[in-house]
Amino acid sequence: MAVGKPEVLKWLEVLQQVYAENRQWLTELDSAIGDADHGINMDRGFTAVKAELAAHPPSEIRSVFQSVATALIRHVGGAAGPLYGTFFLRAAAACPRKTEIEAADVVALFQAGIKGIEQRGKAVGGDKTMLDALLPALDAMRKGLENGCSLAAILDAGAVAAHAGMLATVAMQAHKGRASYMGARSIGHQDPGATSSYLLLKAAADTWRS
Amino acid sequence: MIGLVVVSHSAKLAEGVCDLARQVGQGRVRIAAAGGTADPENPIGTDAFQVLQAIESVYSDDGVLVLMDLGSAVLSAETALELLGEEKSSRVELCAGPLVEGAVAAAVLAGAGAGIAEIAQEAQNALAGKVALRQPPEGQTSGSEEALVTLTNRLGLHARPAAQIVRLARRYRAQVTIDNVAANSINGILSLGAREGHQLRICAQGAEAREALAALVEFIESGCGELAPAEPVVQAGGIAASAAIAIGQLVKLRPAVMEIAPRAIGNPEVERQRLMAAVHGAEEETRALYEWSKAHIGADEAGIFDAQSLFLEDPELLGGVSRMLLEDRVGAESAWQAETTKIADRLATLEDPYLRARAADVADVAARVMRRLTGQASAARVLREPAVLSAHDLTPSEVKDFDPAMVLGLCLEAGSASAHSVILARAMGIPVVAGLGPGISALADGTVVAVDGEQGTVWISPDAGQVEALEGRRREWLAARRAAELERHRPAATRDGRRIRVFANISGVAEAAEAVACGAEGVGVLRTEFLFLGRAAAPGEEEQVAAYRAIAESLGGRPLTVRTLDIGGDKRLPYVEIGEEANPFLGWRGIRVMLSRRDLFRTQLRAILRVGAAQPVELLLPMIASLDELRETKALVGEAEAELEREGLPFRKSIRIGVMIEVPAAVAIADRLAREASFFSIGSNDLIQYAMAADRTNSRVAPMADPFQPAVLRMIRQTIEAGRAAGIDVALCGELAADPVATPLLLGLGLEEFSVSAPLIPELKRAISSWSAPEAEGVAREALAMDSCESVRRLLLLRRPSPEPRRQP
Ligand SMILES: Nc1ncnc2c1ncn2[C@@H]1O[C@H](COP(=O)(O)OP(=O)(O)OP(=O)(O)O)[C@@H](O)[C@H]1O
Ligand SMILES: [Mg+2]
Repeated sequence: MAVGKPEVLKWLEVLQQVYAENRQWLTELDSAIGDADHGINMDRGFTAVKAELAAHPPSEIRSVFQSVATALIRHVGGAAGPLYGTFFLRAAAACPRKTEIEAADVVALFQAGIKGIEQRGKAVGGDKTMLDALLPALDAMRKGLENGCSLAAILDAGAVAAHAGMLATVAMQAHKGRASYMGARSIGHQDPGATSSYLLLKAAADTWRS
Repeated sequence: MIGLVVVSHSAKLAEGVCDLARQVGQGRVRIAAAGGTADPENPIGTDAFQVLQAIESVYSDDGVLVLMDLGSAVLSAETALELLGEEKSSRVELCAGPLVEGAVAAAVLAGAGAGIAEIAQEAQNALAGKVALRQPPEGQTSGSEEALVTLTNRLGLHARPAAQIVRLARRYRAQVTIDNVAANSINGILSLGAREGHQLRICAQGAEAREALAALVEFIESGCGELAPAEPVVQAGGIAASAAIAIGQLVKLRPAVMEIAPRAIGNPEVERQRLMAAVHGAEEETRALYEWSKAHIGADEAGIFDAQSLFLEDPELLGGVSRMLLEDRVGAESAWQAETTKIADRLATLEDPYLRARAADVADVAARVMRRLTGQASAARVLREPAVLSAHDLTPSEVKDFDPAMVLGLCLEAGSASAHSVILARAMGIPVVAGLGPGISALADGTVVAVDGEQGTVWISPDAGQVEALEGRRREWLAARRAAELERHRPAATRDGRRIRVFANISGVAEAAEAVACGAEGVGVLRTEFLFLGRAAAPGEEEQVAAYRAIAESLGGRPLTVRTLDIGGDKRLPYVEIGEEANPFLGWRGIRVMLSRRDLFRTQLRAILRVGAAQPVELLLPMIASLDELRETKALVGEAEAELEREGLPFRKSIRIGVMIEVPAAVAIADRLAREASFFSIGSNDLIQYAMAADRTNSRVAPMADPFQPAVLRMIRQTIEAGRAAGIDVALCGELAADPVATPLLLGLGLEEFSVSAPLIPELKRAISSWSAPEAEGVAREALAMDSCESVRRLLLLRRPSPEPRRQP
């Protein structure tokens, strides 16, 4: 299938629900190794996204992403704001001016966004951040695309890899973000940002399934 | 002066730190806080847009230093830089120094006029003092070491070795002084002004005193890591200050020592008149410099020339000189030199570094008068063939005087990449290396040097291989410039081919040629005030004809829109008595003055009509608020035409008459005005202030005077629509026209003519070509639906064509 503006909007709507539902969980994860606000931040950010999209319906897919980026940068408040904000900003820049985007476009879009997060936060795999979910997911999606899989299969592969990456953060020591102040004591806890990233991919896989 | 921004998760903390910094910034430093989130329930956090706005609010081309607390503060600041755009963000420095100490250190230095690099360095190391204080007391006594060492590097302690010494000294747990100056302060070390052969006394105290001393002695003895002392200098390192390369013979620019030839002094009144004529001439020159710099580098920098004009009007100075002429019977030159040197000397001895720096400005403007009195050309004008100039430092007006064809490059002992004079040289395309230290003046005139402003290197007597390599790079650079040149002259159009006219705003003859060079298709506004200011009586008709004709001719057939005199408000003329007004901006100004001073108006109209006989000239009326004013002017134009007809002088028949739309009243009646005017020119600067009833020089209300205010945007739309309905052209000639962020909005509103200051034309053309008409219309529609200027600005920032990922540090 291809993804049009309605599908993109649907994904964002689902994300708002997902982060509202998981607000408590993400915040608990953040209270173990951070400042107990990640769930609050993500919920606030995507609620703002919803409001912004309702108030000023964008005309094209790329302007949807631009609006999302602004809302997140403005309203998240924590590190996730500039990071996910940059993700959507770069995704917008990479988004072709078409009414429907194909599997290859979707992967290119995620790739640009994730590169943006790497550039912004200067973290690498193993630092116990959202990238530990996103980088393996990107890898999996690229492989899927090379093998000629359908968009649904590509996104599933991404979500599965993100899930594994998220779980792997438990064993890691944090080297970036608030958690890095805890040093070795950050080991043994799952990274909240990796968790919210997994949820982001899972929601895409769920909404763009058919 | 650089601005400061404090970013914190907590609004209270950010404000508090700003308060502390303001205390030491002597009320001069611009500081803005960006703290907390907009969410009252969870106020702790950071917001990139707040950071962006804070940076914009204190921005100048001198740069902005941003200090941040932890975690996302850094990420948000970087995001803000991305939104700010490449051009400005290259002048913003994110500083990893401690928030409180860093902000205070930065404010002190900013107040003293330091450059961004130095301030960033000091702020970064701002904890040093506190760390030293907390050192265990035994550390203080455990060792006190001293050594004498001779400076061997040819260039002395210029910026680079000084910075290395500071870094080295800070590495040890010891307090180090060099000639009694703390070695952890770059300012201190530079203030030593130590040259080759100078003996330095180094003292170190503290736990690692011995190690510190050994390291410093070794460093200095080895020639500060520069060159083996015995070898001839082949290369000197300085600060890269421009992106270009030059090769040529070195000529030292000696401070112009004015020779005063002894001569018999006759009537003191004659001397006084000579002096006053020179002062008036210099005043005019200074005002021209002011206008020029304002257009080229910005109002802040132009401020020096404004201050210089005041100096020339200073009654104490002029009184002192006159007294000397009468009582001492000396010549105008001697009296002027004696009095101005006294003032400059007094300034030079002051504690305050800011005031001390003004001594150079006084000397600069004083020399301008002297040059007129003695008839000596300025130093740079005596060059007979193209050369690379070396100097200690330069004043902006000296640089402005340079002919880029003669001055191939500049080597400065002092200066920094952000000094006004260097910015100016860069704008003129002259390669510059600054901060070279005193060694450069030791070179003989005629030495061949190569100036690499990109890498900050000066090659002294380069060998054939080096010359070839550098020539190659210079050719590339010239080719790139030529390509840019060609690009400039292409007419502007949107991506999908809608033609847009790009014109220049000018105020003088020199700017007309520049406008053409920058790719202007014509002049959208010629501000005629330049002809009227700074003189005792109004220019006559012939003088005006000559001036307008010279301008029209240098435009080579491009259209010239002449705006009739716009005085009042903040501009006064000795021969137009305005009197005290409670509200000059709501008072007698613009067309109102001209309609009651028919003598002035008639002369100007006749001059414009006459030049129009052979040139494509149009007439533009400022401050129109009613139909009557337009009709009355048309009647006067008719009378002037009849007169010229009778006198048999050639003139332009049925000249196009346009009105400035800068008063809200004109917007309200735009549909009616459009039926009787030939074109509109929206003067956004005044329109914004009048529409919002907010003076942009009043810092409390200045933020309201924002071009993206919904009220302003609607007025612009209304004006354009009225023009379109009546089939007349609409231009916009305020600063808004030149802001690339606003380009899609203005295009989308249907604007087809932009008029901006000449140097901004190439960038504007680029901005126009990156949009298609339907895209721009989409943006304009969205913008007009917004409720606040913040949301409009945010929208426009985000709709900018995809930003290239920023370079990684
Ligand atoms: N430099 C970074 N690069 C990539 N991800 C990061 C970085 N810093 C933090 N993160 C991610 O952000 C998550 C935390 O997001 P959250 O919104 O809670 O920000 P925060 O740490 O509370 O921000 P703040 O610095 O304002 O306190 C972490 O779990 C981690 O995955
Ligand atoms: Mg957190």
